[in-house]
Amino acid sequence: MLDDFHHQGAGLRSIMPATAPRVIAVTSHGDPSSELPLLWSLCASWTDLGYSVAVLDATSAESETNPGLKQLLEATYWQADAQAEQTSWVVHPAAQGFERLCNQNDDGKLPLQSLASLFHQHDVIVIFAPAAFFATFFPDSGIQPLLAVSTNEISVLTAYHALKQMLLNARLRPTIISIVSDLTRSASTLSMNKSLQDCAMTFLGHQLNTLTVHVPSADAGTSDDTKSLALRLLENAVPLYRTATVESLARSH
Amino acid sequence: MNIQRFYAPTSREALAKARLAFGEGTLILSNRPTATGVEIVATAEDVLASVDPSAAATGAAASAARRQPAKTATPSTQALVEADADQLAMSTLSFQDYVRERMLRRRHEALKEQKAEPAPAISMATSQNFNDIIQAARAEMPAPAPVPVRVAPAVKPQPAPAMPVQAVSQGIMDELHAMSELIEEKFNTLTWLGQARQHPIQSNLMLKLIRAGFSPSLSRAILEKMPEQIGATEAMRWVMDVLERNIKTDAGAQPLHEEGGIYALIGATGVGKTTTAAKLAGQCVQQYGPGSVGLITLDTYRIGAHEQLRTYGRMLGVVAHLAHDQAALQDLLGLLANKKMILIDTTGIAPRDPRKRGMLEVLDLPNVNRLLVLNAGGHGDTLDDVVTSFRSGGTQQAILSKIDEAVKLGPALDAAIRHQLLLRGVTTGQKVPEDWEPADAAKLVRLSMRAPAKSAFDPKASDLNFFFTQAAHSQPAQGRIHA
Repeated sequence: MLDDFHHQGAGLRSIMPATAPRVIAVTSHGDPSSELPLLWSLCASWTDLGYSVAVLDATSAESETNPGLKQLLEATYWQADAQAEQTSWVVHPAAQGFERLCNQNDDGKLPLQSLASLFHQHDVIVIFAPAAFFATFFPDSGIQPLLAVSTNEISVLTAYHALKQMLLNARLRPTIISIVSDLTRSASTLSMNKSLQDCAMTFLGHQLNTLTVHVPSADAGTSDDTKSLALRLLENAVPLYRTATVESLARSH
Repeated sequence: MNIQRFYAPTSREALAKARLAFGEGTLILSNRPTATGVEIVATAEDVLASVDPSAAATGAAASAARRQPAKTATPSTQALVEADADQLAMSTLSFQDYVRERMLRRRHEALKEQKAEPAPAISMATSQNFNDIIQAARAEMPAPAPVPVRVAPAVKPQPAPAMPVQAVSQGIMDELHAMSELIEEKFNTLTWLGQARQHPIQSNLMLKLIRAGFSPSLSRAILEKMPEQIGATEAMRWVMDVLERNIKTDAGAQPLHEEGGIYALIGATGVGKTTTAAKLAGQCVQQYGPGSVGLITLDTYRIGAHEQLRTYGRMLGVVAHLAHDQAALQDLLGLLANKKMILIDTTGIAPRDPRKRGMLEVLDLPNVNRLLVLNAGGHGDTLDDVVTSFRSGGTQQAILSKIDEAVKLGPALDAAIRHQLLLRGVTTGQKVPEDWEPADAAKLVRLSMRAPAKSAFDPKASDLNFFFTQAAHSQPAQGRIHA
């Protein structure tokens, strides 16, 4: 009864901005126990909210049996082939593809137009990469990579290292997320957060604001915290137009 | 008894006739006017003496004294003899007897004069007009007559039972008291209505305003101040001008999307808060881009509330956030601090819903302005209830929604005037974002006063009295309810 082109919001089409996927950066700092569940929850939340998600995993390399960004760039692999997944979002290994893209430019910066062309049909592009990746390819871009910290001490150390890299080398301000899988351990989470904040303030001159997010187990689905975080990340995400450059990301922020 | 009636054109002539018949000892018993003159009833003193022996002696001496002068009328020797007899009688009459006789004579004459007073002019030796005398007599005569009539009915009920009279009196007093109160209550209204009837232009305008949906109190307040010497057309224009001046709008200020700020749309259920939020967001995106707007919904109750706002948001390139409590809302407001306009959609709540207080408390944050969304087609009492229950400190800003669906705008404008609402805009349909207009007082008043189609709910001129009748406060008896 309600055609796609004729409904009460049809008038919005005239003012609808050009669709462009939003780029969200998630930092990998060697704490898969906190990073991966969080990433999973975020992707599920975005999917629940009706967004199409593509994850470019810069920590995984492509192969013949596991094609990814490199094959997409070579046009020897089609995204349609990747739809036979159990999840509602697609994950592409992208380590080699990002390297190839950066080698294409003389300035060594990531040509975002290629990404925009390849993934224009998606609403959200998640780049899951180490801190060094963002520091190298997205300096002064204004993006705010997500930095998840769990309650173990090693995670705090590696998170601080990643924070330092991105803050000092690329002038990027990550969003620190304290992961709480068990609500009874919120007290230790608070102390970890305080330690990280103190170190950042003392040694890096940066005032950290952390968010505490309850990430349930994979079987429990998404929580309200992760949904709110997903929307928050969307709000701060940068639209990736086909003419986008790293510099334009900073201007659009 | 020798009592005779004498008729004559005048009382003098009637008296003369009586005297001829009875002599000096004539007693007037009555006199009355007739169609042809006067009627006198007279008799002799002998008759009176025979009736009253005590009066006989005095009367006899008096009559003898009167008779004697009458007999002197006989001439020559008889007269001489009688004169000699009188002299002899007088010579033998003592002085006391003489005095006594003279006194009796005077008394008799005075008695005669008293009998002549009811028709005072009759006994007179005056030159008064007989008709005036008769008129005076007639004026006096009815006075005594009704007395026995009046007394009789007054006397007769008195011996009747006293208790029922007291009960009846008390009941009557109670009714009179109730009537007095009723009259006092309605006096001002009836006086005003009477004045309105005397001024047909006022009456017509009153009918027009009430048919447009304005309240009787507002209509009356307006028309009471209308100039008297004014024609029908000028009166109508005057009323519309008054209504326009009393509707507050942001006509002189920036529209909402240009002014910016944080606005929470509140109101009852189904008034169009979410759609209005989408329209406002569309206005802002159209002018300042998708990055200028933040959307937040607090509506976690209505099914599809977040999804609806999110859908609009996606079309606008704006993310629609969800906040469950005040802390989350405050956090989101911090996140969206760089936006030109932040719109907060809330759950539709009935005025008497106990959750209303909690929802309004969530919005109790600095710089959060409340926009009350009112259904323009709502009933006046419903709108009053909503405005009162959602009232916040300071000037209450409002949006009239569904103007296109409202048959009568009078109730909504009436509420806006009486509650001093500041109208920030009106919605004129479902389309997003087109069906939005700035609030134009003149246009709204014209819309409200347009001639509507005939309605079963429109009063007639004769029904106007009922609008000013105070509702009955008495509760019917239980039995009547069941009946």
